[in-house]
Amino acid sequence: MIDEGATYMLSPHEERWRNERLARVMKWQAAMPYKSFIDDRQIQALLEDNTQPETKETLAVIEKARANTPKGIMLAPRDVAVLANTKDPELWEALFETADWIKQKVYGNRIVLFAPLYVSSPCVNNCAYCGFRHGNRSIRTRTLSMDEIEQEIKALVDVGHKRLIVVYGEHPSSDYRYMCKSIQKVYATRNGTGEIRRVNINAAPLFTDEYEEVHSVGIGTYQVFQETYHYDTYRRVHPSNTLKGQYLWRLFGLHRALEGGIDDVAIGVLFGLYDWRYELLGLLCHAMSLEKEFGIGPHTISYPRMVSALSTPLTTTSPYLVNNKNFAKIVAIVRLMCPYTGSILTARETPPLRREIIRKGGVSQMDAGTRIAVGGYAEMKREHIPEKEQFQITDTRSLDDFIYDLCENGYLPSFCTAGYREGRTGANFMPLAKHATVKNFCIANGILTFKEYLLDYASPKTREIGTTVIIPTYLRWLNEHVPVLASRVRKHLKDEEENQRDLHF
Amino acid sequence: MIAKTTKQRLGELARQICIENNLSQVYFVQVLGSRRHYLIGFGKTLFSKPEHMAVGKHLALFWHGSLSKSKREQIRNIVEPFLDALEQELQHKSRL
Repeated sequence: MIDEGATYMLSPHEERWRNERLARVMKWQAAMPYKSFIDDRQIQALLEDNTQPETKETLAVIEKARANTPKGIMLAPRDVAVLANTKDPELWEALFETADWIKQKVYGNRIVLFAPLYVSSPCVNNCAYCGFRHGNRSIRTRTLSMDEIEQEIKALVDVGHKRLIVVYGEHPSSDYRYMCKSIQKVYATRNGTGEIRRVNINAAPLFTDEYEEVHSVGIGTYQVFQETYHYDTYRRVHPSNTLKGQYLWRLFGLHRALEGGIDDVAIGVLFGLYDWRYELLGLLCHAMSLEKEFGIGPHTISYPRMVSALSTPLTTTSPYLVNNKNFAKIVAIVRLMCPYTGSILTARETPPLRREIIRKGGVSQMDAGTRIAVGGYAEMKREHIPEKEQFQITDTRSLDDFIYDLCENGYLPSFCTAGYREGRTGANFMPLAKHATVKNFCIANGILTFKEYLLDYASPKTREIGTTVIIPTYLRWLNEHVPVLASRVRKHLKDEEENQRDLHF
Repeated sequence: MIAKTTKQRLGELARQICIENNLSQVYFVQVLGSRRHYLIGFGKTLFSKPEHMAVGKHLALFWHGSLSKSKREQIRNIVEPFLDALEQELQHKSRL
């Protein structure tokens, strides 16, 4: 499955960087202050002991998930094993309904929108599922210069984006220093009134002092996905002599981020590498460990599904590929097991499936107008540039088309970035999400940021539905639930019509 | 990162400021670019836009409720004795 041979040739500079880093990583692993929270036997036993849950057991877990929601309590591992093994379609309908209920209860009916920005593709790793693996000669890798990043940002803000997840390969050309420089560049770039207001990061795990540096430039959330929590599978798809081959280094990557002061962290799994039921329990154990050690759970959970990548056969041949039916179950279980967390559904999925799963899974964040080629936004008209992409997305709709679709289905599209700029981070954010009151801020800021979009970027049809249907609907909601805030939002909406921007709570 | 003892002291200050001024919530943040990074606080949000003021180069105070100008000055005076040590801890020793 992995290619440790002839095609895996690093340059002397890359090899030196990798080896020096690997030596430090091994040293950290040898002395690490944590014990692995993934107990392989226990997870397997939980799944095997609950292969045929009775109807009443599943219903009890669903009821428990509802009761947990306003207290911010997660389900227990056994509960997740019960849900994952539930087969009755009627029970699944109850589960989907509950996922939507929890989402509405915590975040309201808003969808936060963002764009992923791939700024570098060179990577010293050689992961079997990744188009950007070092040994894949079909890919033309590149690391964007600061000028190129500026061009990308201008293209993104020109269509209305305010939030990014910036994605980095693990490579000397995109180390933490480059990360800091590129983040500062993103924040500094303006195009008229357009600007990026929140930069989240998806990158390799770092050392604590490196996290401190990245933290200092004012990031939003730091994402590290374990890809798979299953030890044997992890070993099979990540060559042992690579940085990514170090399971425990990655498993505690976000613990080090929290030690380094980053208190908004995000976890995820690449579904399709191993049994999805096992991976769900892995995610839960990860969230529980973060809560136990730091009192702060995951800000978001992502569940990217393995999709086709250029010259990467595993992406289509893995025996664990997840079908649409099971994918919907995964998303819904994530919502039930960790009610307070943000839930991210990406453009890897087709438009019809995304439409279906938003509600069935209780999704709270989505990317839109997505291009994942490095430098892809500057070439916005090309939906795919396979030789520059890590994998292939299937939802290539424009941001405006995506927003129109959300509006037609009654959602409030949101570009809110207020929380982390008003000090609602980490331990100040968690109680709001855990007590299901964060929606008061979410809806108010969602209305204001959507209004900005309607004024500055929307097509006539989106402006029409947004102005006549969506904003009045959510103003009514606000009026019913937080009347004081509703009157302030109304005033700010008028201020926005008089060209004031970035008004938030 | 600031030391636990410093954080505790800040927490006591937040509590004191909150109670003495009849505020709903008071919290200290570290200023990191656009991010106002929560350090510690006391009380509950009012679900409105919090007010804030800088109390040091890297430190700001946020509150929910109403504070007069003179009260704000008084708060600055309360925080000031702790600022030097605190700023040293917050000062980022950048290697970039």
